[in-house]
Amino acid sequence: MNLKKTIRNYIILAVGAFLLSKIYALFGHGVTSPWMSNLYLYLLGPGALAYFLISQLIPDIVWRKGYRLFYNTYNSGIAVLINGMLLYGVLEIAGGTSQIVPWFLYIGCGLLLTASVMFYRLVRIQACNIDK
Amino acid sequence: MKKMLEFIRKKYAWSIIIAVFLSISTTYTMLDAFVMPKSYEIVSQEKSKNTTVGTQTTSEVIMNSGSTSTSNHDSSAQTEAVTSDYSYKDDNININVEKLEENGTVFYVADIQVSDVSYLKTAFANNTYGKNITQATSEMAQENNAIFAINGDYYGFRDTGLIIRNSVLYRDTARSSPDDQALTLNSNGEMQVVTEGEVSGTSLIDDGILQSFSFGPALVQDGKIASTLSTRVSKSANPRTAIGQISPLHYIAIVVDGRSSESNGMTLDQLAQEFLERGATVAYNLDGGGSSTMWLNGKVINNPTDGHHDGERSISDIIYIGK
Repeated sequence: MNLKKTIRNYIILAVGAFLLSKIYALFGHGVTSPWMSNLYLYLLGPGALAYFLISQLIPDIVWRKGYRLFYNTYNSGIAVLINGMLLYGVLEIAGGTSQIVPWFLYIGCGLLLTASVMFYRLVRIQACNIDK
Repeated sequence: MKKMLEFIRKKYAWSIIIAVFLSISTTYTMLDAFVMPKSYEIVSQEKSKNTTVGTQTTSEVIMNSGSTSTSNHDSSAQTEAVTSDYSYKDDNININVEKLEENGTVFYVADIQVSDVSYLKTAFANNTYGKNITQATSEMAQENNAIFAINGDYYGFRDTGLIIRNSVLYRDTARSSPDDQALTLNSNGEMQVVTEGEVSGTSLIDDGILQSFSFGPALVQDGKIASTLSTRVSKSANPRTAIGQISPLHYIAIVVDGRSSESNGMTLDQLAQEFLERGATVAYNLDGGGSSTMWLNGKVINNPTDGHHDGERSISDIIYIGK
């Protein structure tokens, strides 16, 4: 697994999200949404920064069995969450609401929670192996 | 099953599955929010009759001055209505619209006086309460024999917000923000701003509330600039629609043109100030932007535009004066 590539991809996505929020604001007639304007932060924080910390603190974890499943689940969680926030932003600027959009947040958070449990288990297994 | 497991094990399979899921769910969500019409209730004739004042037939005679004399043969009384491009007057309804221009902004102020609150009415697009069911203000006004009309709160674009129309409670779901307020109109013709969620729709109906509008924010309360106004996004100049009250049965509606070379639009603060200067005790912001439309005596008198397309936007509902 190439952590540098993952970090780079998250930074590119964050820049894209930042530009998107600025371009969207140009057509928003002064109406803005924190969901939309802070979108890039969620890609930088839980995305790029989290993988940067992994690469610095526990780089060997990527070779453990089960890491791929964690990686897919975690990235999917961020993708679903970001998508939900983007929809929240679009609707908020337009002045509308939707009963479907919260489900993106529930599913996204669910995936992130599951990924966190997987990550904890991976770290624990690694720690046990070092102790042995 | 075996083939499916093999596919999932492939390097990019997971990404493809998530991408397909997100594409389908996002498209559906956007269609549900902006396009797909959902009819929840067709407003029955019975409900409409509750607020109708008599029945009328109308005939018009063009007068020399460009004004029109309209004979309304009301079941309760016979009145002679005098109308012009910017006014309407009969025994029960007096409407005067002023077209003003200040600081590069064109706006229309309608001073409305009625003898009974039942002349101030509301109508849904296609006579149907629902989501994404829309019609132009002028079409709704014509179908309801309105004398004067403005756009309402575009309730059908949202799933939440207190909606009472012509004494019928349609929606009793408070919006998410604690300071989301609704405007109510009671049977004495008094307007009042209430915080959604603090009062139930049923109790408001019991208290004789005829109409409620869920957009906001409140611009004027108790004859002062509303305290919640400063916390809202009010800095950008836009087309606006708002309604207020000077006294029971005496109302003001203001429609502001904007997003065009002819008119800049108004901030919410400026709009609130306009109501204060005219002695309003209560004023409330309705749906604005491309929705802002004022209709009088059979025609649209402002210039509705959303900044990209000129002309009326199709909306969910109107507030109108009619018999």
